Amino acid sequence: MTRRARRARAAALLLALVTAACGRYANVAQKLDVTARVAGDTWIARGADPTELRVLLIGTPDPDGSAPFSFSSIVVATSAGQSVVTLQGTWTEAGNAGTTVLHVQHEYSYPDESGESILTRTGTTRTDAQYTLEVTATRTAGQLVVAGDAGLSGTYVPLVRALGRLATATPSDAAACAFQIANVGTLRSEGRILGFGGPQIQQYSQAATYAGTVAGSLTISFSGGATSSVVTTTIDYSGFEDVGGVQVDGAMVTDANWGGTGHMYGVLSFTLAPVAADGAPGTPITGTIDYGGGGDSTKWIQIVGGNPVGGVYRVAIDGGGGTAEVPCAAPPSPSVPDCLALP
Amino acid sequence: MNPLLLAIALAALTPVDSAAPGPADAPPASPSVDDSPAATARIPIPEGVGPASPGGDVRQPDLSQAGIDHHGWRHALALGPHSTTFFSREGSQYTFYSASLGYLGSVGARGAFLHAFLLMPLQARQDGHVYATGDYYRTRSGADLMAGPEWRFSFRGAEAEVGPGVHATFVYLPAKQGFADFSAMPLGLGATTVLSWETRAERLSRAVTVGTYAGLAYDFWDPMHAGDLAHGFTFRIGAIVGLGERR
Repeated sequence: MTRRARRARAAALLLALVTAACGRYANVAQKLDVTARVAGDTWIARGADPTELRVLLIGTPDPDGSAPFSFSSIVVATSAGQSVVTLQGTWTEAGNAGTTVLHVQHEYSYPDESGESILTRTGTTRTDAQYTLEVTATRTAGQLVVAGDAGLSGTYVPLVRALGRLATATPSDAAACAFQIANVGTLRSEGRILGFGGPQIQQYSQAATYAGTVAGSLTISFSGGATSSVVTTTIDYSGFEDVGGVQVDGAMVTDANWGGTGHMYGVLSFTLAPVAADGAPGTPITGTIDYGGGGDSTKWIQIVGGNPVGGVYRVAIDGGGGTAEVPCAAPPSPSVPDCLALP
Repeated sequence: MNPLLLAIALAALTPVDSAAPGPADAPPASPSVDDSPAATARIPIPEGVGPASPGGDVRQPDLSQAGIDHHGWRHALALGPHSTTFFSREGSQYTFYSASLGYLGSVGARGAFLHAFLLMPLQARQDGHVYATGDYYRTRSGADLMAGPEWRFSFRGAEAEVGPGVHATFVYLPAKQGFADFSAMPLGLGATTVLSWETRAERLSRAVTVGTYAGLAYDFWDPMHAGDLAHGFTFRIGAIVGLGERR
């Protein structure tokens, strides 16, 4: 490329950044990470739509009966995921009738903006306006039935017990399911990283750390200036556990131009830790997810206009437990509810 | 009533052009302007102006009272508070109070002006919450620009300059560790005024002026934030020290 062409491209990029750079206004003095750890149970349920998955973490109640909670509604129409809404706050069950008050302190939104230009996207946002929800939560044997709010209702089961039912019809299914389960945690994390998916990701030229809801943390960083042909976003997971019983480690890297076209690479290792109904820990399932197609550039996750459009997640369960190539742009197969035999 | 507004209103009632100089001006200029020292020395001295000769009745011209060219360049440094407030389509109100240091330039009795300021946001507000920006942002920077046509008027030794213009404010606040960056670039239309007085001092062969300025703008578009700006207002005021070309 000639110097003149490089200058023209840099000018065009700067113009694009200036004219459509930052989505909505940020909040003044907004903390990036406000996650309160939830030491307790992780529950999972089907959503109202076949592509929706609901995850509910409820911590240990304090003497007043108030427990920290985190809830996510995740739409996984394709394996790459589409949108995430997360609530954080306190969960208070009153009396024996199951009446429960949720005091929501933070609401996150990672919307499906696949139809918009990368530079006009909002990405993940958080509002700290507090409000309350009232639901009925009924605990039966191995289940938590939530009713009274269309957005949260469902028949939830403990995730760590459901992991023991991981679909193992074929080794390939087991590996594909392992990816889908691990992906629940990574999608939830992306749904809490402010600016993720939009131009405000530039914020992370100064790296930032987010806590895992259960354990560990992630560090997100961004490199590359306005005149760079490639900018790099790295999410480095360290003992990251955002849903109980599912831990990921390693770096997920995206190289793309300012138009959001590029590819992903990096390898995450995962550990799924099932627990039997009697509380006995099961045999952990460990393995890896390779975003870079195992070095095969025809298979790495391809990003066009900010959307994953091709390539596969190469999944391998350690100890010969099975391998799979999960297409990023195709619907999950098997889906998480099928993998975990959710009611 | 604000003395500045009063002065502007009075000045506005007495438009001045080359054919009808105001009281602040020296006596009528020759149709062909000559900037040479000799020409300056030929300027008639108004009664009571300029020191009397100790030994007689010959008065020497006092250049500091010779008047500045009503049509010439004005350059001034400005210092003062700056405030911008705007509403997002999401329903939030943001307000930034900044210290500003600026340049005010203009040319012509019926000419053009450019006002450019560097901002240092000191306090930010959002929806009733107040934040000291130094607690959350590692760099506090911004700019304010306004440019457009201007008209000058004179009254009792003062000169007023008013004009409408296009306006831009830029606020850029990269955050400290653990906080989110903030940026905004509301654009709009506004008006500004500068009121100045000539002093006896002279620098760089120009008359030193002092004065005050004020500007108000209505902002309605932020290209950086994809249509999230509903509308906003910017107000600035302060003091100036400047230079004006002598006639």
